[in-house]
Amino acid sequence: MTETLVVLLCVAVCAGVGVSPLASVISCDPQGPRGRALRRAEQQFAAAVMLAATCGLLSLWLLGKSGRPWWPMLVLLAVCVPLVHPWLIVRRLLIPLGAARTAYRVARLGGHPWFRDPNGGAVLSGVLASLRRRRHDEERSRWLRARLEGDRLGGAGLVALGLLAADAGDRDTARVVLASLDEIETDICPPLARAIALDWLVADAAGRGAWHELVERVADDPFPTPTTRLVGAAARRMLGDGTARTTVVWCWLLAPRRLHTLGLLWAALRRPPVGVAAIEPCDLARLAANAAPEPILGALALHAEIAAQPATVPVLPAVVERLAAAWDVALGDFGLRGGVRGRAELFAVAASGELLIARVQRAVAHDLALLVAQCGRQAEGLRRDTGVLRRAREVHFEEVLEGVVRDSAVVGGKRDPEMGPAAAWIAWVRVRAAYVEAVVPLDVAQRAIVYSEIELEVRHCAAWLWNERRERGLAQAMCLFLLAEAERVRDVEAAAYYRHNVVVGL
Amino acid sequence: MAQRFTKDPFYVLDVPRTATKPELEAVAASLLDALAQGVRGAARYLTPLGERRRDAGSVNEATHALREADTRIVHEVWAGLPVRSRAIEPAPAPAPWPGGERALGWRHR
Repeated sequence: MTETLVVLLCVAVCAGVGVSPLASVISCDPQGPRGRALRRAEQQFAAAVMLAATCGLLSLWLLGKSGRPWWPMLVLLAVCVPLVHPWLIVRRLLIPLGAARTAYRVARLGGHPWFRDPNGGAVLSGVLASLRRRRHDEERSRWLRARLEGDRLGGAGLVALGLLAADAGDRDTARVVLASLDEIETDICPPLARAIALDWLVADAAGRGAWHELVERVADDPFPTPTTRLVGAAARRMLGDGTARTTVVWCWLLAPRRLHTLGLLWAALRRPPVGVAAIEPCDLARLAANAAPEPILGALALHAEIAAQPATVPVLPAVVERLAAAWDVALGDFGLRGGVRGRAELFAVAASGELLIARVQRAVAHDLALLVAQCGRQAEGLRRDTGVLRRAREVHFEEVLEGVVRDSAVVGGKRDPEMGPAAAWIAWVRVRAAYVEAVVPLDVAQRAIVYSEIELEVRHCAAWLWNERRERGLAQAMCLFLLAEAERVRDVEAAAYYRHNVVVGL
Repeated sequence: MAQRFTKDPFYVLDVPRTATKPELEAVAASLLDALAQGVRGAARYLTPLGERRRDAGSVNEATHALREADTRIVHEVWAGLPVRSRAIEPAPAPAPWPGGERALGWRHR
């Protein structure tokens, strides 16, 4: 009797799923990626319910009179669940076995968690299995890459692309491709793909010792996995931001692979706590440089102290401003200028004392430009725009302009049918990363010049992806970025163009 | 950036900023001799960022740079700091985690 009720209930649910749409057509385009993902989810749900009904019917028909009607149904369900949920087999069996091609074929049957990018998810399953093999197989990688070209690229496909690059030893490409997932709209990016990408990036950053980068990346992620939460907490503690020992221990207890991460836990726990800074960064620029008897000695001492720091450690804008202020005082000092002029007269050189001071200033500006680049995203906090720091911005601008022009020409060259959207996307994310890093310390006028250099090439590439390759998701991401930049540099015409494209694409 | 101090010709040749041209040439020649004979201590010099290694190439480069008077005056400005035998220690940074990828399940080879 109970089973009869279960069967009837299942049939009713199936009918309900069939007749009622899960989302309103006002909020969701039925032909769009979200609509398609919802339809796939509906189909899997209906298949699961139908399976339960079929198992119930079979057990009733064959064994219903035995007096133990529940057990046969549960056994049948256990056997049949992988049919509607292949990810179970792929994750628990095929990936650990390293069966890349089989993992791809089974995952291609669809279902959770790849509703938003079924083909990319299947290739990613194959790549994850391939990474378990003891040797890198170029033939297998080529086969997997060819599967990616068979359909539109989504978030899972991009993760597969990045991991294939890492597997082949090209870790720089892997980094930029996996980090580019933030730009892809969520409708075509399965959350699991995002989590896998973040896991890889975190492991890579920890291996390189790029702890600052790691902390920033984990902090930006709204849904960190237990693993990334553990590594992020340990990194924060090792960098001395005051994360408590208990927090790290809790993260470790909640994370998988506890035995393997014991070394990290130990390194984080034994790190001594760092006290509160005696001087706040905002006060740093106002302080004298060690109260040197001559301004030039103060500037040199500060310069040497900063030069002794490793180039991988981020520099605070306040430190750059303090150094620039010290040099402004030193280079304007009459004692230094008089001394240089006197030496120039003594040696009877053609260049005047002022010209020689200008040469020192150029060298200082070059070093400050390097420090500005080292500030990364924090360079937006540079407020001073006078003296040697202004010159440093100009040096930085001249250097980045050349690089950005060269990189954007590469994006233009990727509109080759043989190269495919994947190559175009890799070229684009490289340009984007270089552009973002380059323009942070620039003023609006300089930023507009750099933007105009990349805009045309990227616009053509986005149009090619959209019109000829039907890669709406990738083109949309490019247009969104160009729209944000057009608004920032106040390019009204370009902003209107990209706003239209973005609205059409939604 | 550190090379402004570590590669400054005055530090490489270990001469004062007031040294005359003949003095510079004499010091360079004696350094080259000492390096060729492998004299103990000749291969090291002090800078404001600590000790560095010198070779015949760096000595020749430094001598050449100081022969041009205008370049020399610019180097005189940069060579204003006293030298020190101990390097400036940057703030201790956490070491990389080389086994991280394996520990987190990303490396099986």
